[in-house]
Amino acid sequence: MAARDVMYVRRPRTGWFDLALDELWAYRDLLYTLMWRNLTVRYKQSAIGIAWVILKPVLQMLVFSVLFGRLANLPSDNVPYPIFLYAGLLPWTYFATTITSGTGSLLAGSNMISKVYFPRMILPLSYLFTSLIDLALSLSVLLGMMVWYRADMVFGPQMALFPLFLVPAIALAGGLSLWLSAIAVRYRDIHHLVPFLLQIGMFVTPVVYAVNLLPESYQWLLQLNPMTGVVEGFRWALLGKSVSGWGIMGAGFGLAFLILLTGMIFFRRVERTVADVI
Amino acid sequence: MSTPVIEVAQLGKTFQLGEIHRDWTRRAADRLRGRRSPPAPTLQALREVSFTVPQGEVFGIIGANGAGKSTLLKILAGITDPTTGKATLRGRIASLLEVGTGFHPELTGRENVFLNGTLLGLRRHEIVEEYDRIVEFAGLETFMDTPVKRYSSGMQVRLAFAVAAHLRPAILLIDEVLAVGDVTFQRKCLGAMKEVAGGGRTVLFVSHNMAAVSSLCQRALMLRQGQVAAIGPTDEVIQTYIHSTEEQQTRDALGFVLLPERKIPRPPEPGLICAARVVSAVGQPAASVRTGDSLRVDVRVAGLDRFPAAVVGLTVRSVFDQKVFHFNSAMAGGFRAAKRHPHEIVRLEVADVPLMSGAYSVDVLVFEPGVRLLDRVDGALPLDVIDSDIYGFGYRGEAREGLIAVRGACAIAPSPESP
Repeated sequence: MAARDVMYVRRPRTGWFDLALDELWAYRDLLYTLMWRNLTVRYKQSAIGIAWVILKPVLQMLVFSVLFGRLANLPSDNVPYPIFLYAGLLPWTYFATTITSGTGSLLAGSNMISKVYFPRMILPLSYLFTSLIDLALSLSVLLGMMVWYRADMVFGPQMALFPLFLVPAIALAGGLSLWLSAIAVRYRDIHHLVPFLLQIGMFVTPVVYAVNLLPESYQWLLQLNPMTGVVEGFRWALLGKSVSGWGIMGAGFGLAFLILLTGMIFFRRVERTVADVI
Repeated sequence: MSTPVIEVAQLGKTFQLGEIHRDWTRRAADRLRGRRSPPAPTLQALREVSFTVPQGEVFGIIGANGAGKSTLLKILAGITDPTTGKATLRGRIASLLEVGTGFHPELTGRENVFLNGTLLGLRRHEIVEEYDRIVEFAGLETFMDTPVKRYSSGMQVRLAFAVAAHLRPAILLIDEVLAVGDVTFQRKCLGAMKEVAGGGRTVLFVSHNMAAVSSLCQRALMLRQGQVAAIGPTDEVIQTYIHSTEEQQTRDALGFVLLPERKIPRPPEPGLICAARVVSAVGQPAASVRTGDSLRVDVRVAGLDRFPAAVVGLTVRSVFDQKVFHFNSAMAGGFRAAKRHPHEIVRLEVADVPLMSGAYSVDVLVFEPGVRLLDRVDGALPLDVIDSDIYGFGYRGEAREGLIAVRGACAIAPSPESP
């Protein structure tokens, strides 16, 4: 019988670097199923359903446009402020929703964790792709806005490059989700901390303003934030804005991948006892 | 097939007790003050458990609550790691550790089949192939587009079992799933499990249902306080299990078994029944009676005089937890005008015990007929029925053949030749 060639050994686990990526691959269909579950469950029994995905960043954009564009009069690099803002809000909203749902994913799935074995990493990771669908939907609004403002946008080949900047965003969101969800299993304090950290995070990322608003000597600090590179990359690809520094952006992206790798190692470590603790 | 499918060697599991974050802060505080923290309290749930299961066997695991059965199954399923030892499982594993494990209440039955299937490690196309058979087995054709939150618990088990049974796992781990679901479905599950085992697959079955264990399993393991207490042919292990529960009972000088414990749900007057004993036909406290003899049960009660209408009764159950018969004081005409006292002994006498030889247990209960239950102790007394020559021809009947002892006649007559 073909099923006989698999063998499982249960014993106390030691060591740090067994990421079990092959197992993650074997369970890829679970990732896909969970991704759809996240998506469908979220808006079941709500009147306008999936429209909330688009509505949330749009409403946020309207509020911030009035607050920062009209009242505070923040500069926006010669692009209508709402467009400038929305192009930054898109990757940020992706990042923030992924982290929020990813952090709680292990607790939300505790019923599954204590009753079935599967690579637990799939739970936080499934939200990476769920929010990606949200992002794709919200993107259509941006294109609509660009036509509406008839701004002299560059509808050029550059636009096709924006998904490239999603890669570090996914890596960072994934890495932080792994770290935070693993810690949240033992210390629920994380749930109170995360919304607060995200609020600060949004203001140390040039979402509502541009990097050159800061004095030049401090800009590098902002640029090391991987999300700065992502937001600037989005504006570069979609709106044709210049980037404040390619080199330091690369360093920021490197940091994102480092967080992902350490997140995986840490998560695998915590995974061993998660069913006993949760 | 020489290599066993499941090999468990010296498996142990220790749990840390107490609240974890408290522990962490206290430890940090102690360290600051330069003191050594006392070690965290621990619980050893499993201790040096070893056994092997060959391919195609249905292996039962029994034991009292908290004996470590579920922990053992969780380790084998990979849900939690052992602290010591090693277990090797050869082949794909499916586990049914509780009702509707991977079910999401908001999703429909169909969506949940896919969620459940992929959760157990299946690819989507494999589920598509089996989908119709799964739905048919569960008997839920018309409910597949209904959210699972509208299912009854019985329907959820049916769906969960249907998915697991159709995964064609080499090893199936089952924990108490039969506790829910109606009799028809239980029978269907047992059939499916037999079929699964017949196909060369191995089943590990945890249950409190001794009837199911004895009819399904060739061999069984009994756990007591995390250790292997008995292992071997199922019927022998079940006997050990039944006798081990008796050891925990304390008797007083008159042979009364003291009954301070009540199982949940807690009855309204838990102090009424104090102790009980079985008295043999010759008037001695005993643990056994012979088939056809009279059975006397004495129940020591306190404060029963406060409930003049109360009825005291006993229910005899088989090993399989079936109620075999019930007898109470109202059936015998009640206590009539007897003078009542705060402390009393109620004697219930059953004439001609109609039971085949085997192990039984006696529940003792006090109730106001048609009003409410006052107190009840399940499994208060063990009762061994020993065979006697009730037929007069030397035949020894056993509970395995049937629980009730009946007498009758037989004859033989010539038949017209069959065509």
